[in-house]
Amino acid sequence: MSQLSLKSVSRSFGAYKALSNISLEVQAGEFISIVGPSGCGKSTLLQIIGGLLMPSDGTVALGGRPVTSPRREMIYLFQQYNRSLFPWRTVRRNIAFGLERFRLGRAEIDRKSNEYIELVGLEAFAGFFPHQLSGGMQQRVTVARALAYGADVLLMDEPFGSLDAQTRAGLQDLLLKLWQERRFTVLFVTHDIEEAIYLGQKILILSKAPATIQAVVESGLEYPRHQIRSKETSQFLTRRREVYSHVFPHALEADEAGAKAAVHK
Amino acid sequence: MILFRTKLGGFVLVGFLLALWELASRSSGAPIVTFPPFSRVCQALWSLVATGEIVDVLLPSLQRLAIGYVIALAIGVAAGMAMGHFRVVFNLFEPLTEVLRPIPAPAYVPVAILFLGLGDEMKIFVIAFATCFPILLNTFSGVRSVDVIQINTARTFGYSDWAILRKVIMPAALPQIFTGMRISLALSLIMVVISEMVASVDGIGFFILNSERGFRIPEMYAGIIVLGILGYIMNALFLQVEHYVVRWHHDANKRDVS
Repeated sequence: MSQLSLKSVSRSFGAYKALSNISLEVQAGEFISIVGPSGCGKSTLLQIIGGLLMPSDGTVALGGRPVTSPRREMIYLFQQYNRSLFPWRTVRRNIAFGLERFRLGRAEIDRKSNEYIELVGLEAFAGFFPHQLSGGMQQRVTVARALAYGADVLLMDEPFGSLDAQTRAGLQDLLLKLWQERRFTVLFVTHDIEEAIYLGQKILILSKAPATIQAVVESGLEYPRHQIRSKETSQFLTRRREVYSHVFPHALEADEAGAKAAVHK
Repeated sequence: MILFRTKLGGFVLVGFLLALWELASRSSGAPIVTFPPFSRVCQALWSLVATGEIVDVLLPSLQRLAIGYVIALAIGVAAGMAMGHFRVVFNLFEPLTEVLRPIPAPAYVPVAILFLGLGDEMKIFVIAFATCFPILLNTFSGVRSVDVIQINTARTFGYSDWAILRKVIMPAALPQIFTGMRISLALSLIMVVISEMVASVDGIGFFILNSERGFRIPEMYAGIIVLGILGYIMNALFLQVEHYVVRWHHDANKRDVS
């Protein structure tokens, strides 16, 4: 049985139809990238899966039970990571935020927080406040916080979108490394097609609103992936072309028409 | 020049004005009873302190102030949180606060006397009532401006509405609650003096007015200076507490006066 199951999920905001009839099965431990034109409802879909938003129609089930509110097994990581950290808590206390829900002793919370601080390499910054960290560090705190909480499913909404290229590559590889070690499930929304292919086992392509699933592409790249070598493979380039043609069909047509015209000259 | 680069110049100005007072009083020929020199005021102030009379004068005032302020704090924070968090409460009470708020606080002293008499109840009520509004309004607006992402983060971690109020909304609104508390602290001093001047047999407000009526003018000025010092100390202590409690906020929003 699949871990996460969406059956004909639709969502409207008033007269505006954002999602239409989306069905999806996700197995435990899968890494799925979700791309689509901007404004197509990627975040809406992710919020519905996370129980933060209710679908107008259809059902979401996690482990066979319908999702009607945020569930313990899933954590949503917000695009605005800097606003999702609590400015009055240090790094350690931010990571402890989820743990404080459980009846753990102070010492146990500290021990677990420290374990996850180490996992994301922020030992030297445990006592710092979020505003004293760079964007990349802040995002690492949100990842550590989700994993410390014991989430099996990470719902990541363009998590690395506003980071510079170098920091972004570093975080992509950190995420892949953690995923390979721990095999949690990831649904990773991004507008960056190369990032989607580089990270995911599957790339889910949404159409423009009202969004439907337009295609599911298997990346077929081997893990562990490498920022340079993986992206040089013909497999990567073929997938890139394939995904682009789904997301920007007209751009590619125009491009091909241009290429033909150039040949005929 | 060092005089203007630091606050030194400001202190020199204060000293200069006090010297001017001393001189003007001694050379004007005005009766010493109505316009005593500053040195006489200092003597009166010293004897207040030396005899310990200052404690008897301040203690009743500080008691009223503290009780009124704590009541205002409890009501203001609770009501402000409820109004900020629950739409129904907001709709119910917002018009009422808008009607009551613009009335200058001293105006309901007579009303309080009518219903509560001339004793401590009246004074505490007046202090609490006046100082409640800045706390309430600042708490309310602090709660309203909590980032929705922070609230949704708490939701994704499975926290209940009550837990979110306690773990996210309360600390996030705290810097603004402190702003309201500081305004109210200054207001509480004003209200204790007014209420004691209107009807009292003790307290610093009574002392100042009574000294004036008994032509003990140096004592009257001494009382005013005591009030000034008291206000300064209260504010300084408050800033210490505020700095300690919401340090993260000041660090995150650091700005220098240039």
